[in-house]
Amino acid sequence: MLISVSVGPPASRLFHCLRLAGVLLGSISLLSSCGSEPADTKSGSTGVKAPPAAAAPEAAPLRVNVFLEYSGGMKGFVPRGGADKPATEFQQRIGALITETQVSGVIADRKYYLCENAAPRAVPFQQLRDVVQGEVNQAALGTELPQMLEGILNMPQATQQVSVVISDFIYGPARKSDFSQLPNLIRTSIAPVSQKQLAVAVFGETSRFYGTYHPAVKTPVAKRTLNGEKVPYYVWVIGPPALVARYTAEVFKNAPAQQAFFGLKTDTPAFAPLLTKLTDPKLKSSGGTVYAENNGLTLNPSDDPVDFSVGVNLQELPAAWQKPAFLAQHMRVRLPNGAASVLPNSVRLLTDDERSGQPVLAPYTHVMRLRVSKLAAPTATLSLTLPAPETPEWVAAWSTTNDNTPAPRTFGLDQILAGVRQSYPSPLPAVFTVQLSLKNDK
Amino acid sequence: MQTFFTSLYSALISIFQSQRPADYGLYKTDLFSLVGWSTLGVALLLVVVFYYVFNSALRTGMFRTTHWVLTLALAAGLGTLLANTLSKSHGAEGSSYLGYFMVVNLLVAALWFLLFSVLFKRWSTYARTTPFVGPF
Repeated sequence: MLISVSVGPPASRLFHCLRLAGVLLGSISLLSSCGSEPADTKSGSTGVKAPPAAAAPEAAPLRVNVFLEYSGGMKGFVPRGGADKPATEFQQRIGALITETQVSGVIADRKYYLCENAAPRAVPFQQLRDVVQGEVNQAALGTELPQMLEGILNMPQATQQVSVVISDFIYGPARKSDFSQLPNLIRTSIAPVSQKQLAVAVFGETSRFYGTYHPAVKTPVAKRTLNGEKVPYYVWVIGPPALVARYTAEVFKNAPAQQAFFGLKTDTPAFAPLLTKLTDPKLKSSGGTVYAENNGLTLNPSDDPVDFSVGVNLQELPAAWQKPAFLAQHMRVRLPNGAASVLPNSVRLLTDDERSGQPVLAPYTHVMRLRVSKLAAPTATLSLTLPAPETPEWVAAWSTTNDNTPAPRTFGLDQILAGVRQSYPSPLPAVFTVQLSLKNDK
Repeated sequence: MQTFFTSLYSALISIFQSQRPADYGLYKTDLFSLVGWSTLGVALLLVVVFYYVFNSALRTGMFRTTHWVLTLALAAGLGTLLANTLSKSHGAEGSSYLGYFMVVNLLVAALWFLLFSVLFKRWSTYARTTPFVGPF
């Protein structure tokens, strides 16, 4: 009796089927609406978070003191011009630099000084600008280079702030025997650089010179009058490494080509492997298995080498060091218990379109591609580092042992910078190091 | 349970594809357990509806093996759909791995449905012997 219900006529069977179909459709729509509800709530969970050190801490305020040596030897760089006389290279470059220093938003505080003798004299910005444009008559006798540097670094707070020193860096001691100790004298005069491991950035440029030129070597002539010949001057930026990097990258953007950096270190830059949410197929990982897990990467290079892209923010590096060619030549990857490398021609700048179009790329200025071809241990730490380059070659070319005849060379520049170089260990500390923990995917 | 679902799904998917995708971390931490639990729940729900609603509380006459197979097909289809929509909504990228995950979840959903059917059918009023008699 009960069973007869199911053996109904075809119409009733069809009715049952329809009812079943209705139930199916209802539950499908119910489930799909459930499924779409938690969209995007955990969308960030795949990205590897930057290690805590890379989460940019509140950067130390940038306080800058600008020191212009104003002695008889510098006066020729700042002739009183006019509409018919173009400004010298010195006037253009330094005028732009002090203006940028005065108006830049990245600088919390700035002060200006003239170095006429051992103790720098504070002056308002307008007076410094007047000196640069040649609107001052008298110039002091000047002070010897080591004493000037010592006076600058003995200023209160000098080791926590950025000191910008503008000078011809010609060393003319009163006692001729001092020449023999030039590197040591420089090193002593900048003792806080050794003690606090401050950074020194050196920029060199030649500029037309109108006036009395005082060479270090006084024979055959003690001084000459130049009329537009080019002689060098230098800008030294001294201070805590990260602040020097910031001042160089964000204020002295239009720096001359001759640059040398000692002890420069940046804050740990933002860095992360890029694995997901990439639209550019060339950025996607390839080869063996690799995926992000627990703030690191899990990968398996045993069958195929694993290639993946990493993003890194290098905006605090000097402009010359941000160039892909420089980075490709100098960046080093280390992976204990494994083998890793930066793929050739893979370092490049991200374009503004890429950074604005793909949120995952926004925090970075550069991308490069790493290859892990071997990982023997269950876990390992990959480090990507930029070793500091040694004293560049232009320094030797700009040095001379006899500057009596004016030329784009400076007496003993190599010895002066050797004194700076000796303030640091050998090899120089790395500019930055970022790390990534790896786990073998077995 | 997360470890169970992760081992279950990654083992089954590795039959089709051994290489894990770049967003495997998301599967491991979120998707396998989320989709696993949802599929389990859906299979259980369909079993309860089939045996205790349509064939106990109501007397619809849908106790035949054909009806059961249709419901099993529904469970399998929902398994595929769940794997797809939940993965996409949690940020998984379209990939062959996701495709195989859908295929595997189709099988897993069908298996859950079969398992729960065998477990629960004996207390059904009209479908005690659907799809087969026994084992208890």
